[in-house]
Amino acid sequence: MPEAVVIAEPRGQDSLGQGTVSSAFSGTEKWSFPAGVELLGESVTARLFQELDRAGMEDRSLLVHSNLATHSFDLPKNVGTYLAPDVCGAALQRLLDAQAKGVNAVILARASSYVDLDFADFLQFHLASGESVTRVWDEEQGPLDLWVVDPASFTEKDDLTIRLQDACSSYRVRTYVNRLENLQDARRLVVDGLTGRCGFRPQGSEARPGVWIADGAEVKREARIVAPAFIGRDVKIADQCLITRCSNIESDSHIDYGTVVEDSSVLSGTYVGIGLDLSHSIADGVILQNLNYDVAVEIMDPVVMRSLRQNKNRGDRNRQWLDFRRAEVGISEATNETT
Amino acid sequence: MTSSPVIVMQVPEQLTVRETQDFMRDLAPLLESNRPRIVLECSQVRSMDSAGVETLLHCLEEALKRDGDLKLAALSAETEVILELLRVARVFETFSTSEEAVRSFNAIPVDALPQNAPWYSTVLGDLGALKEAS
Repeated sequence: MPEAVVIAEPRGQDSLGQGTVSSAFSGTEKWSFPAGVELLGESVTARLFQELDRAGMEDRSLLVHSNLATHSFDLPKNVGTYLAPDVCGAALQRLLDAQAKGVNAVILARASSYVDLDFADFLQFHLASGESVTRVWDEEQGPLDLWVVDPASFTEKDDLTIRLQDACSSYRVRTYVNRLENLQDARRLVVDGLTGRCGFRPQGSEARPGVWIADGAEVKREARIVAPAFIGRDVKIADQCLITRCSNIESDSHIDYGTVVEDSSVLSGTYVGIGLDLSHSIADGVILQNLNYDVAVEIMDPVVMRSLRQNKNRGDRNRQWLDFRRAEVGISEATNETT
Repeated sequence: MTSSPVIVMQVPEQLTVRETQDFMRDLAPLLESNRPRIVLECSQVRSMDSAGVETLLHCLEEALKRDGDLKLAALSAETEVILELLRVARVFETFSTSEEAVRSFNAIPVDALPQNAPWYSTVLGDLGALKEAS
């Protein structure tokens, strides 16, 4: 029975988070939007695990770099989550463990890009090729951070990065790929998901054409939601609000009276105050990233914007994905429960 | 009629509730003059809260009460974002540079031109009025 291992690594830590991160795993240098962030009701990582499950991989695990210890990943149940300061070493160990169990194929993926991929077909292609490593190669985007490997071909002396870079076989596809290399990519993924251009679909019921509303959301009678738009789980939209132009309001957020959200993403657990005009932006707690001006602003006023999330592990310090200026260090137990 | 000179003042890097008192203390004498003409240069601003925005609005209001004006120049991206978020961006006249903002105070409004002015006066302005203003 094939297995799947997904790697989650931290992003760069420069002042705006738009720098480069050296990925030990894939050997490339690029910044990537955190794949654990909830978009249209579910993160890229969670959707990846669901696709792997659909392709028949019951044994799925997530290796999380220690610097992401305080982040929560909204994973399906029975996905094992492990913290590791050295994700490459941990991934290699997983392959060796799979080898010992007689597993014939392990899918390795880096939780970064979003790809519309038929994993079952990918697996079949690899098994038919008889090669030790097969990598997904998009005709337009080039090599992606998705491999199938034969664990029997690995030893503990192997350098996993080099083995993966020297993939023997390519699974060529022409499909939807979003590398999530910056915040503009994240917004594009949301827009493409809302407009049906890819398989990244909103979670929730389509209350009317183009407007998805998830469970528990409260939209006041005099609020206006213009399609396409997404309202997440337990979100509150007050009267006289306007949510428009492919905006998504993620779970547990609150948009207060009279505010306009246009072509913007409000990440989960964010309060946006009264009478504001949020446009062409990503809002996450107290961080407002404006995509037109390409600048991140920390909002000092809790009445304007604030985080509604509580992080149990860090006490009163709310954890945000777009918290570029605070370096994350520390190891703690990661669980499958959302914190 | 003589006009007061145009004063250009730099807005500090942080204009939050802590800094607004000092800022107002510096600006107040300028606002109390007759027909104050003030340009606030915002290129250094990196953070501003609602108290800071309220201060700018208050200054504009005071300048207008005395038949003057207050304009913003060289807005940093952070300032633009905050003003747009709080829906006050359109309240202010803004310019890319302080020089442009200062020049705008000296521009002659169209309705100040004589009715029977020659065709070129809308482009060059009335020469007599220009001489008087300089």
